[in-house]
Amino acid sequence: MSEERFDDDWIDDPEMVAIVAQLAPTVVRQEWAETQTIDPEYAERLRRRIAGRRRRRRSIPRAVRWVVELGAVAAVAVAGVLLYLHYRPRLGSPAHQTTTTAMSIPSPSAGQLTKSYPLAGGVGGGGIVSPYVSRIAAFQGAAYPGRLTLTGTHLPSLPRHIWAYELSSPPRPLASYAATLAHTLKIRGSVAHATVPVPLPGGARRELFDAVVQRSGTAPNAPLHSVAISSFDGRLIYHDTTPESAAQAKLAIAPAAATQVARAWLQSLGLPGPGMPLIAMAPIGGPAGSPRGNIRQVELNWPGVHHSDETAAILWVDAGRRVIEARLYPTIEKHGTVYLRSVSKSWKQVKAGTTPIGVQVITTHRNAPGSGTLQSVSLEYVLTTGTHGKSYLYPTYRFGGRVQLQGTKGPVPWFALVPAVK
Amino acid sequence: VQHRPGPDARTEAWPDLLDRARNDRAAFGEIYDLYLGRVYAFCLARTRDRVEAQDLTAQTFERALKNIGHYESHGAPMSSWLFRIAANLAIDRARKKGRTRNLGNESVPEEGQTAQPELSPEQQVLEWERARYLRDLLKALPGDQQRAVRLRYFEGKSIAEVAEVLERNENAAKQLLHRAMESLRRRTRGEVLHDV
Repeated sequence: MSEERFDDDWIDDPEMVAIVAQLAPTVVRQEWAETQTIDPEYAERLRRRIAGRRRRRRSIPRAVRWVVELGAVAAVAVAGVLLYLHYRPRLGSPAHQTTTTAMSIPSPSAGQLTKSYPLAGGVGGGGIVSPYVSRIAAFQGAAYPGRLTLTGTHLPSLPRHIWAYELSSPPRPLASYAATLAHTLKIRGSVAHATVPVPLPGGARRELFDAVVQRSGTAPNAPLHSVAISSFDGRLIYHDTTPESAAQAKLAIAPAAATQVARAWLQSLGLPGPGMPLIAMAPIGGPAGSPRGNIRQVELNWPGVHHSDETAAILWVDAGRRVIEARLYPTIEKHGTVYLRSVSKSWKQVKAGTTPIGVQVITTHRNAPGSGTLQSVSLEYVLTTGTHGKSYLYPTYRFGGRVQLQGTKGPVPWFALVPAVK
Repeated sequence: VQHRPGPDARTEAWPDLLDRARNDRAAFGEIYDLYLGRVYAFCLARTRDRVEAQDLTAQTFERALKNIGHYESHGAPMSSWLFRIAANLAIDRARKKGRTRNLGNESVPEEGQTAQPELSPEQQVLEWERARYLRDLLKALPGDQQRAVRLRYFEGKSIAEVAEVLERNENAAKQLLHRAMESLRRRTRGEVLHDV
């Protein structure tokens, strides 16, 4: 390695030096303080005061305890193996704690970042129901092409670091997972492998699915009961188009009951339904009192995640308290801390037009320039899928406000998602 | 149980533990076990007094228990919330009474290294977290670069002194420092540690 020559009056990177020198005293105090130990008796007394006594085992003869413990360990091991074989890596939520070393997370692509932007096109829905395409609409947005001038000075204080999440990989072998799910969901049939073009704006992506498909008839539109899992990202697509009875169709289900049905259904698949926060619950649309008018869409998110561009689970619950459609993403496998960029620098990027901005599209003014203001800044996760089927919840800053486009009557909402990880 | 942060100082509670802790004191006990060492270290670094740090730690957890029903993480680690409570309490205490020292023969950092009194609780927490971040970055450097940075910028030694301690010539010492700082800058992707 060649050796660089430095002048006598050399000064190293003044900005970094200033930062290191400024933080040095805190680092020293921190290192010192972390070598100190709190008085254990004091700690235990305090614990009793605020959290009650620790649960202790009763004193029982050692031999008896040994036998009981051995039996318990064996039972737990057997149960664990059975559960693992049954549900593979998706079972339930992760442990209560995990070590969070600074997490490395791939940045979202432009397409991943803008998928929740105002509509450029929709995929799914309509036509003959395919086991591999959800009827739950998946929209792919795009950046607004017109030039926007945005202003705003008040930027809120946001956390300096935050969790990022890594989702479980698609279970292997996928076929046995599909078979297990089909058994639980009472779908009869064998597992089929299919490579299917998944429609995306401007083309299609070919994804390998393992699915169990049951049709009640030979016609293409015969009632379908199916479950399919994508090997691309572990996404699960469920359909049950069996018509409900006429009596059920007249009765709308109560919103709370729909949520309850959705959560119980997820739990029956080994997913943490009860711990998943409710994000939205609404009728999917259709004449009141009609079967479609009585279907409610329930959106539940990953435990602890409240703002994300995709939700962990979207289910349709019909008036007969049946789940008739579902699109689910894998559970969280682990989380880790990521440090966040400065909000003000990200806002400068938005103002400079170097990051995609979404605007409510108005057909006749798609490219009109406009000027707008910043009204809100928040953190929002973007679902990204990297290589080898690993998906992540990546933190972004969401800047939002209203913009007046030239030639239009009133201001319309705009927003921009900017990658927030340093 | 030794309540010392140690190498697991980055472990954070999962959201479902937080949810359970809202209504279950036993679950809050798990949070206490997880964060006690870190909260105590934070308090001790502020007070430099064991007894006062213990009192402050107790008050922090008592207040956290009282307010956990209203706590919203918004994705931020729970440690930040607990540190902010502790920093607020420390400021209140400092206002109410003068500090006392009760460390016996223990050597403590110099007076000049104490927290700046004008820092708000949020700034104190931010600085604490930035310091931890800097420690993470430093740990990733080769050993001789770490030593050079510590000697030069933590202990204020001259280039000649750094070179002498490291048994190298001055140019080699400058090169170590240069590479270390370059590496720190690269790892922060140009977004230095002092932003906003």
